Amino acid sequence: MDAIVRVEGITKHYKEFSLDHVSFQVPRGMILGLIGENGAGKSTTISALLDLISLDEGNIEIFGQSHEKTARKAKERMGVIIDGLDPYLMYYPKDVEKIMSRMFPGRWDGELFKRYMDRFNLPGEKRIKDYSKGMRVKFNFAAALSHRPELMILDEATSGLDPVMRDEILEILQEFLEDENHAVLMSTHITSDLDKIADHIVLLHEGRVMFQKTKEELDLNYGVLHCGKETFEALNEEDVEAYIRGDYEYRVLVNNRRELQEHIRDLAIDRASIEDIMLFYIKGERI
Amino acid sequence: MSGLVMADRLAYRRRMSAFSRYFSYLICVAAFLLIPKGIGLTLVTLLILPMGTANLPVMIKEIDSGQAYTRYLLTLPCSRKEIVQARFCASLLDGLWDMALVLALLVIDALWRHTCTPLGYLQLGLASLMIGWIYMAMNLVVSFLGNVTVTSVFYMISILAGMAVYILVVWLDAPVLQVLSKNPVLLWGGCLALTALIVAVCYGISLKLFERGR
Repeated sequence: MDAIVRVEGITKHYKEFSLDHVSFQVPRGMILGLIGENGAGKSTTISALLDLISLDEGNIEIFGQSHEKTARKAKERMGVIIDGLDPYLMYYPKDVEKIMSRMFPGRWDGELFKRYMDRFNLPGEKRIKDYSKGMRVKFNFAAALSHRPELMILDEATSGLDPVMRDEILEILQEFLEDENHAVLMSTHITSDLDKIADHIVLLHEGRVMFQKTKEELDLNYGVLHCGKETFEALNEEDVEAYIRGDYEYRVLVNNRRELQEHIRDLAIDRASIEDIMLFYIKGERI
Repeated sequence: MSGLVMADRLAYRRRMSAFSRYFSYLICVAAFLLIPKGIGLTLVTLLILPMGTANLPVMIKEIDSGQAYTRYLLTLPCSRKEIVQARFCASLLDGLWDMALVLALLVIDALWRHTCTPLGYLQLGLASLMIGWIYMAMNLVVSFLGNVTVTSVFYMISILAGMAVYILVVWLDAPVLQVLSKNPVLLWGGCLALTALIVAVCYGISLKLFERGR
């Protein structure tokens, strides 16, 4: 796999939490969705990628080079948007343009920035703090994309936005990926967005990677079966990824939906969404 | 690094409105004009303007508490060392405005009121510069370390010192201006060296503190 980002065995210990030998890759031309419950380690992982924290173990390679030595160079080719970081509030758009053109000499494209500002209908004469939440997010994207990055790192970048705005953002990301040398790492709780655009999914739980799979694999193979105890007990162990026992039924996450459907024709196996899969992995039981 | 310097300076200027800035300069000029016997000049050059010189890091710290501004800078292509260096540069550059006002007031007083000898004016100017740089360096350490209330302690100490000087001159008739007219070269050389040392130590501490946050 030609990967822009390779994370190998990264480990970081805190008092009450550890990132435990996390490994995954972000392939070129793809969107990798990083999912997990609150406190799973998503933001810690992204902080490690951005060299905001030191690691106890492990290695990160970005653009084929070890991150330890080349973090600064790698960031020239990255666009970063993190929810909760509102760095531009006190500035005018023209201030941001001046700053970014100096931070990214030779890469910043003022014309592209102006085109994004026009496309997003962002007023140039207002301070960013006077923008609405959605406008601020769009501005963050305009600023992050206008130095022509190859890798976008998004940490809850669309949180708090309405579905229409989120759809616009997803469209921008798809345009970004028209260049097959680009890639996106997107950490989000809004798994429905990843259902629409992600190519790969990594699930983090309590600081560990539960899986990295392609979205296609999840769509084709994973399903949710609602059944009684008898049917559940008749299932093969290998078919059951996880199950949740309810008062009157079992909900089962199966990992070979199509084959199983042929054997159990009288029961429906629904396609499992990313949210379903996440819930089963985190809250479900194993046989 | 020029991008980082610009980011800090613009953040400061946008956060502190032009009105606030010019109003503070107006206060300085009013104090200079209205408070007699050179006390106004001394107060402005040794207290008010040096505090203005040191304001940028305090303002950045306030911005940080609401917007994680410095954390965002770390996502840009720059090192922690460059962020610290840029903040020092931005503070020094921005402080030039206050220093320019100190120089202007000293020149005006020299031409108009003749409060001190030329050497006295030189020493007032140097003292203003040193106090401003020491405040600035301490505020820079605080901006990478703790909360703004630590800086408030420094300012309180300065205000109390200023009040003490006022009491000495007005109530006790202490010959402060005569002292300023002398030229103890060794004393001033030592003070300048001490100032440079304090600034260097604060720079080193800032770097260590910021690296440790990783």
